[in-house]
Amino acid sequence: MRPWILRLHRVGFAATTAVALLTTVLSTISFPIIAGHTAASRFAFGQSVEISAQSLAWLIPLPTSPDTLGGFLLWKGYDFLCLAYPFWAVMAGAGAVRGDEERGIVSQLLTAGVARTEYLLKRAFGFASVSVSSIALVGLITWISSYTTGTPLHPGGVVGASIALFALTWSCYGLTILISQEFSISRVASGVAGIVLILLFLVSSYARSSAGAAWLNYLSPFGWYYRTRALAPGGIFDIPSVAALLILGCAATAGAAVLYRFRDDGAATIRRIRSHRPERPLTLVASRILRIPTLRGVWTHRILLSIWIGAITCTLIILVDIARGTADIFTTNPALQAYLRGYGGSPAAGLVEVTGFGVMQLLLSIFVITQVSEWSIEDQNGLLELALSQPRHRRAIVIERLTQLLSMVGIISFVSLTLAFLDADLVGVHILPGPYYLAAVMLWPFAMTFACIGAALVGSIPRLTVIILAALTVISYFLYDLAPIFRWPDWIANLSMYTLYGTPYHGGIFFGGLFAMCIIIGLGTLIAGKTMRERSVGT
Amino acid sequence: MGTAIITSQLSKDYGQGRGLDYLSLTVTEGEIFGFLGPNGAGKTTTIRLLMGLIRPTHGTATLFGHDCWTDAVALKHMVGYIPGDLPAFGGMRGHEVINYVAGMRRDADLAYATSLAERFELDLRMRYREYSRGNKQKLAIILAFMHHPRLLILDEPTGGLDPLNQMEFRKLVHEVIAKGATIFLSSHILAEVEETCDHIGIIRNGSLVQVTELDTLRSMQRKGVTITFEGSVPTERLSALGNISDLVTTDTSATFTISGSFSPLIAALQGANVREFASHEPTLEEIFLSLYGTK
Repeated sequence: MRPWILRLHRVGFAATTAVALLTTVLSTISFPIIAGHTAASRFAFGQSVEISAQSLAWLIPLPTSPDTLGGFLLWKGYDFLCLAYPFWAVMAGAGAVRGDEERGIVSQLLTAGVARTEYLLKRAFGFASVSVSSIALVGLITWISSYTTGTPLHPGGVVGASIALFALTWSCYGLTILISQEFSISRVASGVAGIVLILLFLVSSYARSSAGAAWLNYLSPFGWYYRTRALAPGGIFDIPSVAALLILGCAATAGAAVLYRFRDDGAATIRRIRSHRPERPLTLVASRILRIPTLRGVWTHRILLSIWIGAITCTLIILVDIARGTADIFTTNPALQAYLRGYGGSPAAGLVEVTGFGVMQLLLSIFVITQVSEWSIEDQNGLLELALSQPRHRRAIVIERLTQLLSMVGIISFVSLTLAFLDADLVGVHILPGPYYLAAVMLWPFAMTFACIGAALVGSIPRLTVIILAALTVISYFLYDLAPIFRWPDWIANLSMYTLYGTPYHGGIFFGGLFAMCIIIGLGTLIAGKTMRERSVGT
Repeated sequence: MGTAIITSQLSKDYGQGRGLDYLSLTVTEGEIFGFLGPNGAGKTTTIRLLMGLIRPTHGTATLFGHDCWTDAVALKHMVGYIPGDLPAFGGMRGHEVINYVAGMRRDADLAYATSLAERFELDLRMRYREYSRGNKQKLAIILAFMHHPRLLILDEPTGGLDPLNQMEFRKLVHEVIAKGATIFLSSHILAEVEETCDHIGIIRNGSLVQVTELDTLRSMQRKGVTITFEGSVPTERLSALGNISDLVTTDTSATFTISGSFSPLIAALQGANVREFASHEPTLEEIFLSLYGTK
């Protein structure tokens, strides 16, 4: 393998491995603390996990033997990693096919005599090597860390779980490079591939949560992945489904290689031929929309905005539909009823808050990171230089960026949550509109907190900003998740953005969190304005 | 005539010896100033300082009496700019790009922009990413000229343009000059500067080597000479001259370059049977190389 191919994956390798290690190792070492050391305490712990897992059944399968370290780690760790590794696969796949084309690397290699098929296969096997290394490293360190718990993991189980995880990652990479053959822009290719994989994931979720829909699992790579339960004691390593994932990855890669042979460099596989090129030149007419600063940015992002609204709405609607079925389970089990008692109202509405707004927070933080990434790219692709060559104040550019993002977050939240609200009404989930929209409004300061941190950093460290924001998202998740387990003090838990958001649907506004978010927003905006005013552009 | 550009001891230090060293120059209103230099000499740094995109380490730069950094916003109404690296507008169509920029500056003349697009035969319905390098450059020209700026700062403005469009661009430049505009043009294309500019400044390693009128520069420099003789070539007498170099002789001819006065050469040719004597003006490329020596 050529070293440069491996080098291209260094950021993805480091970031994904770090997230995976945090997930698995923290779950492992926290297990004896939260489950106790006696058989009775672990049995009770297992029961409580089974109860809480009901609310996450739409996301990951119900746990197998959660009273054991293997069962708990499978549910808490490896079943979540099947989202992290495919995310890396999408970014790496779209980057290999389209990102490197945009940067001119591919044309350079093709003119140097590298065959198209050879290039694509080298990139695919490069990613396979790096992802295998990452998954193996995570498995090894997790296995070693399990010795601290006194009940070490069975090595065969770790190997089985790792092989299944790699098979899923490989299949997602294959699908991404196949899809990317049709979309000539890297961002569009990664966006479409990401949406396809999210839909496949939701198909698996739906199949798991809805009666009579189990057959749908066979249509989703995620459904195949969840058939392997090797890490749990007595769990199986499902050879046919793992083999199917590996074959899918190879077939998709081969399909991509075939399509690549027939398309032009930098072009889509199926090209639209212009039937008629107008002879008469176009007369320019001033656009009113483009004269209004914030609206100008929103308008130019209209397609991206539509895609995000579509994807988030689909996710929310599926969650609402699943909430109804899950709520029925809760109402038939007294122990499960107790779980949602604190949320008041109907159990289904409580589930919508837990899952719906939880997903909204996660997706909006990802949306903000993509926008901050765009600010960083604007510095490199000359758009910021162009903007500053016009009669515009530097601080106005910062304000316009933030108000544009605020508007886009508002549009996404309002449209998708309203459609989810209407769907909830249709399926008989009674949501209180007042608290519901209060929770929606609170998503604004939540998203703007990420945005303002990004704005403050992007002027001085543009390339690192996205990594820092992604790390902040991951750390926020772990703090939110681990603070109650390790009984950390409130001030540590409050370092998580998710904690600062609170639970506005049933608990009202968390004023302490809102105040903290406003402080961050204010400081971030001030720093962003000052940095933009002082900085050099285009150097 | 007032002054359009004044830089005084203008410096930018990027470290490791890179940047711009104490550049002082003046560009008069209404002239076309050519700014020449090899890669990394400091041309783009100078332009970015003039555009207020980067802050000087030392010294000042003013356009029409306004400071380039502190009065940047007011100045941009008077300035049109073609950057060296064209921005990436992605999937936006040509007319959307123009409207987008026009929306940011609000002083654009869209009728004039339409006429420029017709003149350069640019299809504004196409997406930016579908444009060739030359078409992207045409769009950059329209964006720079569409608000009738008093000063145009152009960094390699004809890169990617075919000869016909280069000629059209030169016509456009002379039209705006006739209307009183000033042009600061950085270029590697020596013929373009030679045909377009009144004054030129040559920059090397961040320092200004020379600022002069093109004609003056030519007169200061060496000329190429070819002499054909009826008889033998007086090689020894020619070699003895102190102001000629690159002497190449055949049985009947001598080719060399001469700097300064022709009188010593005429004296050295006394008694020789000269059949043909040809001297030519140096091209700007030859001047450039003579100032910089070999690469």
